[in-house]
Amino acid sequence: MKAVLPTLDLLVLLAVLQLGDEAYGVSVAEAVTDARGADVSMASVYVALERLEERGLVRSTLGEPTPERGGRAKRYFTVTPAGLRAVDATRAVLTRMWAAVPAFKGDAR
Amino acid sequence: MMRALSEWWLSRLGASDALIGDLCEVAARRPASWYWQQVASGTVVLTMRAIRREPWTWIRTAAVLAGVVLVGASLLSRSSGPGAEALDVRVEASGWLPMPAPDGRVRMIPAVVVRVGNPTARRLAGVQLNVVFRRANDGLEWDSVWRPRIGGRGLAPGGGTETVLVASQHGHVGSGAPLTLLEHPAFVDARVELFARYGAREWARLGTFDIPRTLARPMAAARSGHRPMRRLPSTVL
Repeated sequence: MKAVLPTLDLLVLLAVLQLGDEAYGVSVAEAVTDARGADVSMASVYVALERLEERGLVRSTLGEPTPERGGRAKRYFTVTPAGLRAVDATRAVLTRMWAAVPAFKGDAR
Repeated sequence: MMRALSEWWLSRLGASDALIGDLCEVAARRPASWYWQQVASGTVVLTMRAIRREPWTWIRTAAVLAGVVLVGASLLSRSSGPGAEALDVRVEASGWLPMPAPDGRVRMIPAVVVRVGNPTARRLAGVQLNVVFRRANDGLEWDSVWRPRIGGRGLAPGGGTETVLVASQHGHVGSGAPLTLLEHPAFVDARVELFARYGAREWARLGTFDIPRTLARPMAAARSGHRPMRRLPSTVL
């Protein structure tokens, strides 16, 4: 049985995939906020990213420190092959569940 | 200054440098309210994460904090406001109540009717009264009666309780009319010591009063309800 990702973890992984090389805390949070239509806290995004990194679904590298960040470096994230498989597995489970709901059958949303 | 403090706070909760740097970066183009909302939500999220990671550390910390708060509140409660000596406890009436005893005899028990007033400018909650009945000749204790929560939810400034009847369970037992028993040569007089407190204050001794050798009003006897611990048995006349 493959584990289904929690909603926020799935959204964060999808945002990292969309952003490619530009995926770091701020850009990921903005992508998730745009998709949800509601603000998400930076801390929640970081906690999700750290959780995903502990599970080996993303990896991170440090960028250069910049003055506007108080001399702190950005941490860039990329999705690992295991992360890709987790996203795919979650999509498959959700799709099967949706397909079994009569109200959503034939719905292209 | 406040920003530096908030950054220190978040880092103490386990926020990474990258997260704090991200907050700095976005805060430059967002209103201050956005930043403080992030700090507040970050506090909740990071605390929850820390609790999940090290639950026993946090349970221990919470227990210590709760203890400190309780001790502090208790000390504060004891140190603020007037002492229990400020209570105005007055003996409105006193005397001896004739009560039925086995074998058709009569038990004469000492009783006082008191009223507790609050002459202070603040509401006094949790008023308690302790009345100790003693033999006047040797000071031995006949009985002590504790009355918690006098005045219900508290005495308003300048207010007071209704009259409260407090009677000993023990006294003298004898045959004959009550007035006759009061004049018996072996009859020993009684006196009461009044103690009071409110809230978490220490008990204060408010005085000693002699019980006159007279009959107390029967109406007051009917209102006696509370039952005390045993002390000296009643003296048989």
